[in-house]
Amino acid sequence: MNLLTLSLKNLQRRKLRTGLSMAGVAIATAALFSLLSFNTGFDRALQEEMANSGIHMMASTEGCPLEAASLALHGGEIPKFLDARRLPEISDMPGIRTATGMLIFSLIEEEGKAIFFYGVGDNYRDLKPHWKIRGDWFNGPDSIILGSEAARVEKREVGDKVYFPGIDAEFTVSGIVERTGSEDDGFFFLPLDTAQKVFKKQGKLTAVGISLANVEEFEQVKGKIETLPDVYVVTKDQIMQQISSLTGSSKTLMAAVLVVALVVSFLGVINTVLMSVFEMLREFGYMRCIGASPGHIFRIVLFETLLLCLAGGVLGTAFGMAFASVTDQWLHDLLPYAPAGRFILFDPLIMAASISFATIAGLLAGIIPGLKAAHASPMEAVRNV
Amino acid sequence: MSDLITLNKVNKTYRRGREQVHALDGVDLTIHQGEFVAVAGPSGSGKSTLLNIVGAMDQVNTGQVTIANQDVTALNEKGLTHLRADTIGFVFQQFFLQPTLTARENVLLPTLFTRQKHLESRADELLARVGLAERADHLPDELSGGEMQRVAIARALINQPKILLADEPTGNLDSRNAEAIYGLLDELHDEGLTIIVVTHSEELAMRAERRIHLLDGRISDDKAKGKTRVA
Repeated sequence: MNLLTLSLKNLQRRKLRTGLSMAGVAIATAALFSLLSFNTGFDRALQEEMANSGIHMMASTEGCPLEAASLALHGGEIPKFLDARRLPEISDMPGIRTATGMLIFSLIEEEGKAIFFYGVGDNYRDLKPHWKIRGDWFNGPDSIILGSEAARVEKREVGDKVYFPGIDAEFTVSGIVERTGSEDDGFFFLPLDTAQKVFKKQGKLTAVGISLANVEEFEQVKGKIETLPDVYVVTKDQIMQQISSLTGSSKTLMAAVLVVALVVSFLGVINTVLMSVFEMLREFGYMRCIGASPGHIFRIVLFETLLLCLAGGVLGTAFGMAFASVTDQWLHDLLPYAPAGRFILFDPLIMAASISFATIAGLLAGIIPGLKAAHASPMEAVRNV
Repeated sequence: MSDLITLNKVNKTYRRGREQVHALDGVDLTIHQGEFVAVAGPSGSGKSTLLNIVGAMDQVNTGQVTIANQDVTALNEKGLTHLRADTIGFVFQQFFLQPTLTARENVLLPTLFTRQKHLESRADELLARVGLAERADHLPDELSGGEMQRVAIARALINQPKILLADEPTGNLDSRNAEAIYGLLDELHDEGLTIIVVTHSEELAMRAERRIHLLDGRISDDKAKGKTRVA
């Protein structure tokens, strides 16, 4: 037996109170773990999504080019359009590997769910070299390619027809893109001309996605494109910055909630241990009689809070990991822009950081009760109740 | 018999609200090694304060206290802790057994603080000595009040103290269990241990070889029983 086992056994004396405090620490640690994972996972997923898009920069029109670009990547509708005549001008510029026009529209279905149509040119395939298409690329003006998730939801296979009452148009599924893990999985891809016709935007584009032949010529190409009338260029980094700022307020809100949870949990632990210290003051007084120094008593209390928070930290991290997919789904629903892919992945560093935080918080939480207990006089043992 | 505890003109006052209470008022007292002393007196007479002083739990305002040749008034907190750990065994009315520790672990508790190791066999011997050899692995809530107090006595003896200080050791016990504790204290006294008991129990006080009566912070009576002990 040593002081640590004595502390552990003290915790077992008040199982319900210990359990509740541990649950509080576990919830706070799970929230911390999820937020830390989210912060790194979001950036990683965003990088991956940008890399998968194959786009180095996007040309859009005056207004909110950054928003247009991020919506073009993720799905959404903007009120301003780029003149489609800019597309061949951009394509013909030196240093451009691929430039593809995109027209993006959303349609609200009867159930209130938005579906996104991407009108894309043939060279859009060049930006998606990783796509595996079951079936064919567009084989006619009424053909449609479905993302894997879109095909699953619509219960369609290659060769099936799909009718959209909102636009009164029917298409034949020429191909289904196998699961990419990106937002592409949920989209409906139409030939660009068809999309322009169906959505009555002939000669209009939402944006032009541009892939460079040589990324070292980035600045020169960007400068040349921006000489075109009404054309604004946003880079991949700017898009990422825009997306980060779009999610920034959500992140701040989550961080604020987390701070509150941590503070409440921290105070809860102090309260629990302090209550137990008050209850055990006479016992500590007795321990002082039988040779315990103030340092011994301080350590007993400190170990108690440490064990409480360590166990809560381990439980919370395990809980956070176990429910990662639920948290992921919740975050995807909550955020204004959430790149595809999982945010919360097994990361030993984040797990260690979460548990360490809980442990350090435990050490700090133990100081006040520990000092209170350490000041217990041996006379507490003979104090009249 | 050599002097084990001496109090020389000890005064102890404390404040209770606006009132100044003279808990001990010029007390002179010498307790010899091997004595069995009962301290009695009405509530507020200074018994508890005397117990705190001879147990090195509290310091005096004026006067001098010597325990086992150490001037207690000159000791710092660390010195007092060592003195209590090495010289005095404490037994209280409330037992103070740790409910999640077995009887054996409770007996070993003081060794956690004195860093003595491998005293399990001594703990078992002491439990056997107080008649609880078979109960060593039981938790306190599996023991009767008398058994808990016997465990507390075994715990007080683990560091081989020179003095056993007991504050109302039978206060929470029925007469049968109290009788067992009286018998145990008698045996320990017969083995040469110095025992100081603060008690309201006339029966326990009668069994001590010396009875000190306190009144208003002063020793009003101090008499030895006819019984003598071979030193």
